Amino acid sequence: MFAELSELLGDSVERPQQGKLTLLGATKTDASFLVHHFLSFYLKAGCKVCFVAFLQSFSHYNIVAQKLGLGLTTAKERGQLVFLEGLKVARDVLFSKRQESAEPHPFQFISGDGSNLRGLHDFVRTALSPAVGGDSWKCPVLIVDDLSVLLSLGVKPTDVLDFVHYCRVTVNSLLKGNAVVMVRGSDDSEDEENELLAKALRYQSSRILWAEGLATGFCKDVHGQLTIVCRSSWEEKAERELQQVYQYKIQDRNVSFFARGMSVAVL
Amino acid sequence: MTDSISCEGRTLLKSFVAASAQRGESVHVLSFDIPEEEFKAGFSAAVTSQLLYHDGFRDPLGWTGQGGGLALGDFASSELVARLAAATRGPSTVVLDSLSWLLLRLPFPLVCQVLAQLPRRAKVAGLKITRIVALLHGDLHQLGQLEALHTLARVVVKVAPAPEAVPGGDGAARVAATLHKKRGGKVMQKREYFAVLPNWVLKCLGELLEDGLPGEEDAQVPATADPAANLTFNLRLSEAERRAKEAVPLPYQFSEEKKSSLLQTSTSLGKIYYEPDAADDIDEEDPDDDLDV
Repeated sequence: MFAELSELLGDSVERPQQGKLTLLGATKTDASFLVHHFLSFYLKAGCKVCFVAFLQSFSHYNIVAQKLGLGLTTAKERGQLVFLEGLKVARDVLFSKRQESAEPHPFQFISGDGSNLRGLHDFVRTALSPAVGGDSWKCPVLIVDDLSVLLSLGVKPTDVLDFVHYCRVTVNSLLKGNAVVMVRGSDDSEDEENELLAKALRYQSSRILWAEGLATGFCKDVHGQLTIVCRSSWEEKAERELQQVYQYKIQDRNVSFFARGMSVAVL
Repeated sequence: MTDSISCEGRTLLKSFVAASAQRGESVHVLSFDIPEEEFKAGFSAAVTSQLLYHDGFRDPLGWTGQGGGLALGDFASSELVARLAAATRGPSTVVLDSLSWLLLRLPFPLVCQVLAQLPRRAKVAGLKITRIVALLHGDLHQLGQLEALHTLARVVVKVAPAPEAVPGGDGAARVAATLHKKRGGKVMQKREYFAVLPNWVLKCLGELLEDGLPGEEDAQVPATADPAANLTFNLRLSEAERRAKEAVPLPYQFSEEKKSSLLQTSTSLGKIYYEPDAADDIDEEDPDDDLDV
């Protein structure tokens, strides 16, 4: 968790905001630090987290989380974290010996016609629904890293949008939780499907964090700039979009943010 | 109504809803994009009582198995008419939030057909639909589809963010480009600034002029204003000045003496008088002097 970032977003560990969809994205850079931030942030806040990872293995996320002072394994054992490791599960579906198991698999879409993400949504729903006995976790949180991989797996953009739509219904609207989804950047990659997905998600999300590489190229002291767009809800007076732009530098265990052109190296 | 990523149009849509409800019409909302609470947020009780909400957000594809809501398959003219007619009899407005959601999931011709047939079918069923208002996210669709929808619509409003230097008032000002096709075949085009005030009142901030600056608040003022007033220099002529100005012969006007002086042929041949300078060194063989070729 990067304290500066949550300060910029107005989040606090004691009282995380509820019912929000946050969109993460990046052009010409790597925004995975944002995913790590939100993962550790919500775990520290005591939320029940369902993490759907397509991009990296569990051990990768675990190592990064350990650097940030958090053990994913213990969180998993306590039942706070439900981790769906896309890399592994996909392999299980495709190469497992057992055919047609009784319950539908969350990754059934890979071997099927690649059109229905209902199984995945059902998985998320069961993972985040409060247990019968009642557990002590705060609002449920869904984190997906990242949705663009689904497109690469042959899922149509409308199906991904359906999935996100239902995640909004269940997680944001019914359970009053948060969802954080990541998409790949798409500025000059002529990937029309990905672009459509990113644009459609921008309409739906209440908060957008978009990291960009510097236009002037890589720099040792400034790693990129982050645009934060917040759509305040009606209660907070006038649906005005707030847009802030910061530059950031990724350090060993932290990310520092500063206004554009105000890097320590420049001044 | 078309919006884009850079400028959302839902507030404008909501102000239309509020206006229709205040006219006493019942408003049918077919909502797919946002949950019911979010749509109804900010409306007064009087407006909410006129709203008939058809929830297409909760379970449009039947994944969770909750009934009651609007499903994707229900978007056909006969089903919609049955659904709408069951609720009201009076004049009503149908609001689609948003058309983009439907267009991404249904074949394009089907959506157009339903939109075109809906008022007629409803009339047969005894329901009067005065207007259909649809929110469309402009940058999600191909240009051809947008054009086709524009021809279907009687009024197209395009929302865009306003340039910086605009007196905003309470809400942030935006630009709406309106294309209104009237019944007589006349087409009106307008670009206006607007802002949505609290309580969903639409405030027009004047028309957009060609140079990109907003007109005055009151449309009457710029029509009668004198551009020559308050100038630091004089644009007007007194009577004496005008007479003097008219007395000046213009270059293309030929008086008698001017004409004769021009038409007179010179009697002698033209001659060149040349006096060599002291420094001049005339060389017959090298007239160009130091031109080394």
